[in-house]
Amino acid sequence: MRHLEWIARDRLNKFRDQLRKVESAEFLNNSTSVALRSIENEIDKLEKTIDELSKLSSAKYLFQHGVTINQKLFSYSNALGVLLRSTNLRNAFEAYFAFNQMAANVIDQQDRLIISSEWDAIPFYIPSPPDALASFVIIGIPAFASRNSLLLPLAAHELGHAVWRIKQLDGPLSTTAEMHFHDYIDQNSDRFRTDFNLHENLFVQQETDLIESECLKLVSSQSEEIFCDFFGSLLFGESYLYAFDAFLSPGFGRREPRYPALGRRAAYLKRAALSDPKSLRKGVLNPEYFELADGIPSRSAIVKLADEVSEKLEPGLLEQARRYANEARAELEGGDNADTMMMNLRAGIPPDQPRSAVEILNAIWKVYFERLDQETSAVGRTNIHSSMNNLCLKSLEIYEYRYRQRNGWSTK
Amino acid sequence: MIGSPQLVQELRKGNAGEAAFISIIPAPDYDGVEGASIDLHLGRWFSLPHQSRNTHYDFSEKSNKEVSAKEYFTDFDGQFVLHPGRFVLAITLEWIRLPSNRAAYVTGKSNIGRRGLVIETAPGVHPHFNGCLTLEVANLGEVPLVISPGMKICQLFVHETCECPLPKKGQFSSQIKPTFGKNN
Repeated sequence: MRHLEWIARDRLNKFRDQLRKVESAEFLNNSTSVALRSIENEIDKLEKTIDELSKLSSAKYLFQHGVTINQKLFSYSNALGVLLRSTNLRNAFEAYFAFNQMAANVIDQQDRLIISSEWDAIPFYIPSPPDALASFVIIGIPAFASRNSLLLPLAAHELGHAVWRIKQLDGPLSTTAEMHFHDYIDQNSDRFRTDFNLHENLFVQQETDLIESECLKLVSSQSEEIFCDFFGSLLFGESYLYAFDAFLSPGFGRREPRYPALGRRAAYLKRAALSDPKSLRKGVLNPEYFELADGIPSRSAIVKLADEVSEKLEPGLLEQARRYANEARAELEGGDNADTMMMNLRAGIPPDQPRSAVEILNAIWKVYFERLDQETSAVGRTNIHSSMNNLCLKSLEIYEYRYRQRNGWSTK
Repeated sequence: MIGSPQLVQELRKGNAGEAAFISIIPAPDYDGVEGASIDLHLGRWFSLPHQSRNTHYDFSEKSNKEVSAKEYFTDFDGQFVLHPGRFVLAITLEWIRLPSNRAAYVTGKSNIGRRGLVIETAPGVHPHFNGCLTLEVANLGEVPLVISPGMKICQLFVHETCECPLPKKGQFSSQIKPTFGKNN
C-alpha cells in the first residue's frame, strides 16, 4: 500500500469514528441521525474511489483524490460540529417537534431539521451546508439564546433561507433583477455615470458590466434576506417583530450591504406581520435606532444602486414568501387560539390545547409585555422572562403531546 | 380531601384560566377521574448527581452549595432505565397550580410501587405552587425498570386548607425541569 493511500484511508476511518461517536449521543433526534448517515455514505463513496484509484500504476489520480478528500472532510468537520451541538442539552428540545413539522411541510421532506446551539452569534443560519446535507434545514442558535424560546420566531427567518436554497428561488429572480438594473441605468443614465464616475471613462461598457455583476450579487443576497423577513413575519406575525427587535437590540449593529437597510427591513416586517401597524408595541423597531445603524458606514454608490433594484423585487418576494409561509403552517385542529391561550398564560399556566407554535409565541409575547409593564425592577423583569420562557417551552411540549395523542400515540 | 366530582369541577374552571381554582395541564380526561386522586404522567427531563463532583452532602452546612447534576432529556418515544438501587429526579408532564386554599399530596401508584419503583419522599405540595412537580424516583427492586415519558407515574390528592398568603420565596415557581434545590 502506498503511503498516500494509507493516509487517505486512515483519515476517512478516523472521520467515520467521529460520526459514530456523535451517533451514540444520548439526545439524538431523527434528523441528526439521518444527516450523519448521509455524511457516512459520502465517506463510503470516497473510500470506494480509493479502492479504484489504488489499482492504477500512477499515483497522480490518487493524489488528486486525496486533495478532494481533504476538501470534503474540511466541510464535513464543520457540519459534524453542528450535528454534535444539536444533541446538546442547551437546545430547546421542547420546541423541536413543532418546528420540525413546519420544516417538513415547506420542504416536503421529513426529518430534515437540525437545530443546534452554536458558539457563533451570527448568523443563526448555516448558509452553505456540504452537498451531503443539501436537503437539510440547519439552524444554529447562539448558545446564550438557545433556550430562550421567545426568540424562536427568528428560526422562521432561517427556515426561509433553507426554502430559498432548496426551492432554488434565486434562479428566476436573477433575470428580473437584471431587467430592473438595466431599466434603472436607462432611466437614470446621467446619475449613474456621475455616481460611478464614468463620464470620462473610455471603458464605460466594461465598467458597467463590472458594476452590474457586483450590484446583482448584492441584490441577490438582499432579495434572499427580504424573502426570509417576509417569510418569518408572515408565518409568525407580531411575535416575529418582537423577537427580531429583542435579538438585535440594543443598537441594531451596522448596515450590512448584503441586507436591506434596517429601516426598510422594519417597514417590510411591519407590513407583512401586522394588519394594523399601530398595534405594534411602542418602542419596538424604533426608527431612531435604525437610522443610526443604517448611517454607519455611509452607503456607497453600488449599495444604493442595489437597494434601488432590490426594492423593485419586493412585491414578487412578498408573494413567494406568502405561498411558502402558508405551506409551512402546522396546527392542532380545534386547538386554542392566541386569545384563549392568553387567558391561561395571564393566570400563570400553559394552555391545555395550544393550536400551534405560532399562536403560542404570539400569546406568550403579549402576556410577557403585559407583565413587564407592571414591573420596573431588573430582578423582577428577569424573573418574568424566566417564567414566561418556561411557560413557552411547556406550551410547546404540550402542543407536541396533544398532537401525538390526536394521532394515535398513547400514554402507557 | 376533595373527591372526584368536585375536583373535576374545580379543574374545569382552573384549566380555563380562573386563578381561584386548581389547574392541572395537560388536563386529565375528566370522565376518567375517579376516587379522590388525579393520575400524573412522567415528563421528559431527569436529573442525576454528577458521579465525579459530589463527594458528600452535609446538611449541617450553612452554605447554599448546590448539587452538581447531570440532566437527561428523553423523547416521548424514548425511555429511561432505572437500575436497581439507583435514584433519579424526574418531573411531571403536568403543570400544576394550586390556589391559596388548596394543598396536595403526591404519592406513588400501587402497580409500579409493587415492582420496586418508589416515587416521592417529600410529597407535600403547598398552596400557590405553580409549575411541574419534581419527583424523587428510586428503584428499590431487584430488576431494572424501564420508565417512559407520558406513562402514569404518580397520583395527586388535593386537600382544602385555610387561606394561605403568597410565600415570600417562590423557589420552585414555574419549574419545568427537576431540581435538587438548595441545601438549607
